[in-house]
Formats: sequence, structure tokens, C-alpha cells
Amino acid sequence: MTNMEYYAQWLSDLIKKDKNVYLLIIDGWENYLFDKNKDDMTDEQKSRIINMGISEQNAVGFAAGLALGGKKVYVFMFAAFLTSRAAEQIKLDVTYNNADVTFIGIHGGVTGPRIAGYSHWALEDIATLNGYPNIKIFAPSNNEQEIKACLKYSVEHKGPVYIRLENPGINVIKTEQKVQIGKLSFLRFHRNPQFIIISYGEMTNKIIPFLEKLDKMKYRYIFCSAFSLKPFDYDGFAKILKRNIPIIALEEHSRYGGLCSIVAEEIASSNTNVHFKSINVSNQLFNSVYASDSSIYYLFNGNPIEQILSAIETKTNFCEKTFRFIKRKIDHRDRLCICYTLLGIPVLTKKILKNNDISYYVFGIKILRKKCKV
Amino acid sequence: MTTAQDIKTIKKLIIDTVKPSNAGHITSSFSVAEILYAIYKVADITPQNIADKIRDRVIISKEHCRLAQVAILGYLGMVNTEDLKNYCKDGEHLGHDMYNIVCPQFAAVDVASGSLGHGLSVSAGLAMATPDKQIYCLCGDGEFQEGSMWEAALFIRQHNLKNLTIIVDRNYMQIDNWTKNIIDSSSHLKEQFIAFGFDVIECDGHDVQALITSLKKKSSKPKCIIANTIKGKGIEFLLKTRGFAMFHHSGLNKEEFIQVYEAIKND
Repeated sequence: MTNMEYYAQWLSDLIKKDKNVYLLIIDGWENYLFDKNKDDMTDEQKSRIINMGISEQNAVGFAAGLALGGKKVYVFMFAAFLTSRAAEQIKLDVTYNNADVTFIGIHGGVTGPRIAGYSHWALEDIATLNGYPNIKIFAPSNNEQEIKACLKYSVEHKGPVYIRLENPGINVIKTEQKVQIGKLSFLRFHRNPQFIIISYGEMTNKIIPFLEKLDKMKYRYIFCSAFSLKPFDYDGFAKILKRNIPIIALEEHSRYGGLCSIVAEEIASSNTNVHFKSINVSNQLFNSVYASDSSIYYLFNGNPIEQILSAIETKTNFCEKTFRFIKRKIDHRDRLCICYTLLGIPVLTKKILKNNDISYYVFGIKILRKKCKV
Repeated sequence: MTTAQDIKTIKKLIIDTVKPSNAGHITSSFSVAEILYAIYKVADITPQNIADKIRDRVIISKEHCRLAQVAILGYLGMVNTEDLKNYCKDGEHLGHDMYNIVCPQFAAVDVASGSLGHGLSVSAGLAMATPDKQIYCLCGDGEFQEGSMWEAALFIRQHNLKNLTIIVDRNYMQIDNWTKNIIDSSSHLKEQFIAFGFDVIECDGHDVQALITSLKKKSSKPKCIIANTIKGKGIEFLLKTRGFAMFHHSGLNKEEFIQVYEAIKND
């Protein structure tokens, strides 16, 4: 089942279950999505699915009116048009009035249909909405648990919610992973990590094949999904920030006002000296190229591994560079071993390494000494 | 008390409300005083049901006449008249834009729509959500320069939202000039709304009885009442001394306050 079909099915079920729910769709999605689900609906249920035509501003104002009249309203439309064209309606009619409206913005990020081009991309949707009060912002990936958590929250919550649906055509992945609104969800958590990757939306799945390559290169890292952007897990983030290791934030969004901004602000207001790299759609890179995978093209300039590693390398010091020479990453365990070796008690080093060869430590120290002499 | 006396009292209350902070859209409020008075006479809104979610609603799409609305609500006992003294004052809730969620003591004020072109869509939503209640949406004629108004009008007719009544305060004026000198969104409103499929009634916007008759008229289509008004009715002399923009939104000086009170008295 594709992302889009999952949402459509879920919304159709909700309409059948709850008489108070209205679904507003903008032209282009109704028969594409809901015709199948309408077969077993009554006329009354069908009447609560309203095609708003080509009028985003009216659709959002109308949604606010319905919600202020006591209804639960879902609005399903292009993220680009929703958050740019109807921005003032979202701000004044929905968020300031705390109207119970859930927006599902399709084609968030650079996943717009190639047939339409970049007019249909939403690179500033999160930035725009982040400035408005009361609204909750989620960007789940195609992980079923994340989507479910967001949709469930939208039912329980009485107020505006924005759910960013990125590529609607990809399949939903079923997982057992536990996710919680307002919390970071950790997808990889290696011991003694060297860096942290934080991301949201489809990027969390897109980056996985590249992370597997990093795994093979024996890198250790934390990889977490921040699908809940507002409320953001500030406490959880503060905890990982204490590790004092480089942080890489990835997002299909402009560099301003999205996850990268949130992370940068948190780092800046903390007392840490963490190296931070934001990977996003920079204004410089933005052009009208049609790439087979726009997010890889626009975010990583074609090479995600290189981009991620460049972020870590800028942090490495002289000692670590030396150890890179012998193709080994350095961590606190290594530092301990070096100390023991230097102090002339290799027995303890051997204990820590458990039968591992300590020759490269000795070798590394030799190189260090040589370099120091020079 | 006669209707004319009521209107005089309301206009005096409008000026009393403005006086402490000397801020508010006086002329816009004088333009709609009779319209709003007529709407609140017809609508089923009482001090007892103002806190209800499901009731008749009055949506002010041209937000700058909020002043007139709160004065009338104060006069009708739905807003505490003591609160009116705080209009647009530092640290107070009552002013141009008001959100019921922030200030529940003004529950009678339905939807905030400080920017133009919003109220009609919101009214359409309320009309569909509460089909057995009447929704009144007060718009300005200059406001029809906004595209979203026409999006909403198309939608209202398409879904035949009969319980929605649009009242256009047609004073042929916007902030900078007469609408005909900028974009003429006033002269052809009747033909435009007829073409859109509305039941259009044109009447004198300062004649309370004519307004009440128009509002009470039953129709099988959504209704649009075009109320011809004069901006700053009774205090038009301010236009000469102040020019268009200052006539729209400026406070008054001491002399002008005296002149305005005098004008209301002699109206």
C-alpha cells in the first residue's frame, strides 16, 4: 500500500466512524484517492467529502468555519499551495482561532511530481507554519508507526495540526518500532557513537542504504527521526547534545526555519562546542534541474556519503588523523588504551581489548612521536 | 425608545469607546451602525446563549467596524460596557482584532478576521456546520477586490448555503479614495451577485426597517443584501478636513470630539 493510499484509507475509515468528520480535498485528488473508498459509503458519508475545487484560500477559510461550528476537519492538498497561497488563512482563521483543522500537505520537500516541476515543491512549509501559534507540525516517514502516531494524535487533539506527506507514491513500511509524539525516535544507536544524524520524513528512509555503507566502514553513530517537529523533543535532544560529538541534520527543506534551524538554535544556546552540519536544499543549489532523485541531487549534491563524512572530518584532531592513517576511528576506549600503553602497562590495554591486537596502538604512538619531533 | 434614538445612543457609545485611547475606525463604524443594529435585532443571539457554540453568528469580515460591533453588543448587554472603556488600550484584549479563545468575556464576538477577504469563507464553513442556524456575514464593498471573496461566493452558490446572508456595506469608499478611482468593486456588485446565482436585495443601509425586512425575507438561494451607505454618516465633514486616509482610521482632536458629539445630537 502506498503512502497516499494509506492516508486515504485511514481518512475514509474515520469518516465512516465519526459523523463529525469532514474531509476537504483540493481538485486533483478526489477520484484518484477516494473513489475506491467511496464504494461502501452512505450518501451522508460521501457528502462529508467535499471537493473544494481550485481555491486554496477559500478551502482553508471554509475549514476554519466548519471547525468553529464544532466539526473535525481534514484538509488534503498540495503542501506548496496550502502553506504559501493560503498562508494567511492558516494563520488568522485556523491557528489564531485554534480551529480544529488537520492539514495533510502532499508533496512536501522536493518530492513534487516531475510532470509539474518545482512550483509543486514545498521547501518552506515548515518554516512558514513554525511561526504560527497553536499548530502542531509533523513530518512522518513512510514508517507505518510514525504515520499512525500522527494521525491518531490529530484525532485526539483539539486544534490545528499539519502533517507533511512527502512522496505519496512510495510504499508504507510496517515496523514494530515504538514512536511517540514529541519524542525523538532512535533508529540506530551504536555504542560510543562518533556522530549523530538527525532527520525526518522520507529522508529517514532514503538515507538508510547510505548508512549501511557507513556501517560497513565501521562507523558508529546515532541516527534518529525527529518526525515530531512541533512539539520538538528538546529534552531528548539536549541529552544527545551532551555527548559532544558532531551533529548532522538532514531535511528536504530550505535551510531556514526547519529542523536544521531548530538544531542550530539548540546548539547555539547550549554550552557545548559541537560541530554541526546542516544538509538541506540551499538557495545556491536550487535550480530547475529534473533529477531522477531530487532529494539526493539537491541535498547531497549527488553524494550523501561524502557529505556526511565531510561533516565528521572537520572535527577530527591531529591525533585522530594519525589514527585514520591506520584506518581506525578513535574513541574514548582507544584513548584509555593509549594512556595505558604510554604508561607502560600494556596488560591493562590487553584487558580492555580482550585479545585484540594492540600493535596498532604502539604503531600509532610511534607515528605520533615522530610527528611531534618534526 | 425609538430606533432613531437607539442609533444615536449607539453612535454616542462608539465615540465614548474611542475617547479614552483615541484609536478606532469611527467612520467605518458609523457606516454600519444601522446594519449591525438590524442584524442583532433579527439574529437569535441573546445574553443567555452567547457562550453556545451552536447559535446564530455574525461574522464581521470588514474587521475595522469591530468598534461598532462591540458598541452595539455593549448596548444590547452582551458585552460589559465598562470593558468598552478599554478599547485599544495598552494591555487590554478589546480592539481591532479579537480572539474569543484568548478573551472569553467577549464570547459574543464570533470570529476575528482582521485581514480582509477572510470572513466570507469562514461564514460558509459555519453555515455548512450549522445548517439550522442563521449566519450573517458583513462585508465591505472595497473588500470585493480580494480574490478570496469571489472564491467563497462561487462555493456558497455551488453548495446553496441558504442559511448564509451576505450584507455588503456599500459606501463606495476605500482607505485611499473612492473605489471607482482605484478598482471599482462597488458599482456592479448587484449584477455580479445575480450572475453568481444569489438572491440579491438592494436597500438603504441607514434604514433599519428596510434592513430588517431584507434580512427576514425567505429565499431558496443564498442571500446578498447590498446596503447603500455613507461612510461616516452624520460626520462627513471630517472628510474635507482630514482627507481620505485620516478619515478612515484616525483619532479625533478635542474640537472634533465636540463637533462629532454635536453632529450625533442633531442628526
